[in-house]
Amino acid sequence: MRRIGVVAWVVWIEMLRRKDVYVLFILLGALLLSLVSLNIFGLGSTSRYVLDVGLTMSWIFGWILAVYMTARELPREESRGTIFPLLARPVRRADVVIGKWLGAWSVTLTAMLLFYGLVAGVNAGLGGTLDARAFAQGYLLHAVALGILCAVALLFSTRMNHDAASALSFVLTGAAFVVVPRVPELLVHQKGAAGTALYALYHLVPHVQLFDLRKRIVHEFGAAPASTAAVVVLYGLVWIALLLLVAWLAYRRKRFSRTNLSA
Amino acid sequence: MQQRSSSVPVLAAALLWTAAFSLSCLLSALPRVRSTPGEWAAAVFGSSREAIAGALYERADLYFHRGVGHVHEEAFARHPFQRLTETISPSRHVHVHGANIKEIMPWLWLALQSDPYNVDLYLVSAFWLWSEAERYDLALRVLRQGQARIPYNHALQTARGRLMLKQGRLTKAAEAFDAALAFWEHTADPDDEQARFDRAEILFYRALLHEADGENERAVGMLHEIVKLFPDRHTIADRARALAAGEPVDPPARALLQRLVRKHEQAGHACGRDAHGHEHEHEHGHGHDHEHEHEHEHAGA
Repeated sequence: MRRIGVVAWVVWIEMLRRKDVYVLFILLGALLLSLVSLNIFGLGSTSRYVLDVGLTMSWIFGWILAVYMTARELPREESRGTIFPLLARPVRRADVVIGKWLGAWSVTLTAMLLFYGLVAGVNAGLGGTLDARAFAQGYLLHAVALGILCAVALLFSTRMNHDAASALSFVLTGAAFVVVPRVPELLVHQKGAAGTALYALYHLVPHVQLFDLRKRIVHEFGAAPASTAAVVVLYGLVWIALLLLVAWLAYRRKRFSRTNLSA
Repeated sequence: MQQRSSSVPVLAAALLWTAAFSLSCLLSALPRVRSTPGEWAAAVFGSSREAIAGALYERADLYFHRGVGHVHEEAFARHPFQRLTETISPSRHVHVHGANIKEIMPWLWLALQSDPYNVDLYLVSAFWLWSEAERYDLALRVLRQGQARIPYNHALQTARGRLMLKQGRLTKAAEAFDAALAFWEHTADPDDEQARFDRAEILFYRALLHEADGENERAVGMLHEIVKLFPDRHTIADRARALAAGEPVDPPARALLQRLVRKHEQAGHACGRDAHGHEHEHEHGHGHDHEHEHEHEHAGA
């Protein structure tokens, strides 16, 4: 556990050195500020659209951060050659895989905490109401979804370079967001091989929409039933465990060559 | 360092491609392009603005239904994932009312900024401002802005007339309907069915206002004009006949005007979706359709 913690801490140090999270935080702040400054028909303050846009941007920024940051961890260690001293220590490949995932996930979660805090603060400043329980539940489920996204990116990065792993992860997780929830509709018109492929996709790709509580938060439907939320969290944890297992299987016998090091 | 510098352009290109693809999908779904042949720049950018405005208008519609989108036919139902999604993301058909209507206005405002020449957006925005938010001043301002952008549009003047009627300002309402009739003469296509319905609607309002002022002769002239446009409107023909003969009419003009405004509000609130959320052709707050015109015919009875 300590070894996993050390690997995760290295990810944290790298994140603090880089400016990704700060830049996204400032972008979100600027966007919310510009929305707040709009004069909507002279009606006075309306808050729900700011909350909606803020949460949507948090999802998009979280997605970019999780995939982009996780996908670069292993390829960077390999291209810089730092993987050799790392593996020369009493650190197992499984520790590296889980440590990298844990580091990237915890960094993303912290960034999300900042984003959610900013959105809630702006909403409160506009006099908007917020169901605290639904908001907390939304963050929890979002956190699990980010865990899946990090695990997907890490899995691809075990056998690919940063660009390829990022691109594939964005495509797969993008499809999980956009296409998978619509498969039952698409199947009305798609038959034959395409229909079978869509049906398979429906069952083989994680249902990220299950973790999205924005509608409940923004339109004040309140928190989801605890039992449903628990089932969704469990579903997410199973996906994370499965993806990390496959990532470890892909990584444990990987051979590294010093000839591939970047200049 | 080398890797980072090569990744960012790839990511940027991917994002730009996604944006371009999404936009092209929206553009291909558009029914009309406001440009003349050869004006490719106007076609592309004009359509982009319309596409964005359309998406923002859809967002307003989504807010009117508390975030619940349109229901589409599905190949299977009650799958565990579908049941979970339904519990997590409520899908029952509901509407927002009263002060909550205010929350749809930002999307309409943004849609208007994207496509400031869209008459329907002014009409819908003004409708919600006066019917639910009860901000007559703001509704009037929106209609004035629309008229400044799109001069001589009869629909905007008709909406202004209704707004004045709602406030009981009959003289101002008469002025608005007179302007609407004058604009119609100069800009509308007399062979267009919707334009003919619009003219009949304006004439009916104006005739009732003349009647309320005791100017029965003028009222009869306008009612006859409606019957000329739509010979099957017997109740209107009967009313004209009674007025011409000096007989009492029921309901009286003022009561009928109030009833018409109320009916217009109800028609605007009517939802195009059925109880299951399936979509039918209708737009909220858009009292500019044939169905509404039928109500005028019955209201005249």
